[in-house]
Amino acid sequence: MGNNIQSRQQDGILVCSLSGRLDAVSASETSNELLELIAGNFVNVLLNLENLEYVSSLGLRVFVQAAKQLGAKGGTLKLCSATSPVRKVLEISALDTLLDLRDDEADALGSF
Amino acid sequence: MKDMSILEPDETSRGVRVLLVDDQRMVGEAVRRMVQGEDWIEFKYCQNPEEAVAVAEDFRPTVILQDLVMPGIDGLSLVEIYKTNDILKHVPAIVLSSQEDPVIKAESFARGANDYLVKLPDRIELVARIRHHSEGYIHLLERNAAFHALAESQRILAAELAEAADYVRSLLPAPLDGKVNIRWDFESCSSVGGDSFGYRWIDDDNLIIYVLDVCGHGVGAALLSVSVMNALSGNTLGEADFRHPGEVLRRLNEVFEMERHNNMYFTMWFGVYNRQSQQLRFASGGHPPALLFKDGQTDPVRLVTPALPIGTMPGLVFKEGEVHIDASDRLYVYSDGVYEIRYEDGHEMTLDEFIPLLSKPLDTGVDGLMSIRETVAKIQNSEIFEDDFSLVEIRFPVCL
Repeated sequence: MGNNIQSRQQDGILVCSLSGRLDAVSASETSNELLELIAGNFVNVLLNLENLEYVSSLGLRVFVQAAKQLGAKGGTLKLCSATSPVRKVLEISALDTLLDLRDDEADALGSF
Repeated sequence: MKDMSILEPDETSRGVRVLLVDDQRMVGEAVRRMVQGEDWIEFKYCQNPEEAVAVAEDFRPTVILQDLVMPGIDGLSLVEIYKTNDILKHVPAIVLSSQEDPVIKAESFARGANDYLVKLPDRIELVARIRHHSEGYIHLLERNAAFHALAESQRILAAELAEAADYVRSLLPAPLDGKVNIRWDFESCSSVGGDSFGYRWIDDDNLIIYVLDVCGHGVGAALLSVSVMNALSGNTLGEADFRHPGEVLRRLNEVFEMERHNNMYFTMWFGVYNRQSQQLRFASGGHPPALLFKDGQTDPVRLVTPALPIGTMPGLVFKEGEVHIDASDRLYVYSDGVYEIRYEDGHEMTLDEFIPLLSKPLDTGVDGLMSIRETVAKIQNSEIFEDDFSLVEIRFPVCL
């Protein structure tokens, strides 16, 4: 597993913490790692963005592809704890509402 | 200018070649016998030191055995000549001396010799040194040849990227004057980005304005960008009504679904200005807001309708926004490359930090826009941008 994703299970939910930058350099690798993680039996996945510093428009691909893969098997992808610059990118892409962006992890876990 | 010390690949595969320069035929014969049993060594003897350079340039040795004391010219002067010769400068030179003298040894190395042997050396030692120095030299040639090939391929790639960037630039519209004045500034990033933009009157009353940014860099992104621009300029979007930005984006989202375009997608802002109603309708997909500066105000109205980038999901719906345009309003549409740069302390510029650059009164015309790019370049301390820089300014006339 690369440096951008740390994962754990909690109450049957796969929680992935993203860190660093999601840009042209890292998006493809991070996306592949995440898709591999959620390819298992998980249907509910939470991405904790607390340590994610930056997302470019290319980095949005990570969220879009994960949402598509989970959606295809009836699962749900949610987001939480976005920093201000990341939140702004999510807002102009409407991903904050489409993927249900929550303020903190406890709130997000309780919403599944 | 070509570096003459870089040999062609077949030169590196010719094996070990030893040139002995010594005025004493007896020494030449002795060394020849020492190496004659080594069939991996090609040996050449040069008795006349005045011919040494020409013989070496022709023979292309992998090591030169150089006698020290000779009539007419001394061995160390010849070594210095080798080291300033474009073809021979990297060839190892081993000085052969009759004296075991530390001072002469030191001077030999100071003047460019690579090794020093007292003649006549033991055959095993001589062969070992020939092998050692020749292998080092051949490795150097191989590395130089690989570096040269890499540099050449990079030069060709850079030229092709520049050609792609030129092509994208050639498709951008000319400045617009008349009922509305439009200027722009565009600088392609070093690896060619996927920005493009356009504007045109689709009838007497409606002016469309758009900017798009394909996510990613390189020729692939530029190709998709050009495809979208051609679809918009050639009216090849089927039933899409260009007076309805949401409809245009919805149609583009259908046509350019990412799974059918090598997983590439793009952000976009699209607006339609109607000069009769003085209304600007707009829609965007993942694109930063257009900025509308009302006359005399420094805090712009941000024109954005949040939605996913174009092509990311099938069936997307793009809401439209609408705003009234007043006389002397200024509108800026751009790609995120204008502000997604880093300050020297490493932190990213934000849109909020970029906006004050536009708030100040700008010179009309291209010069005013170029001053924005120059300011951003100064902030990041580089004129080379990591992403395309696209900034379009729409000035509405004093009397509408």
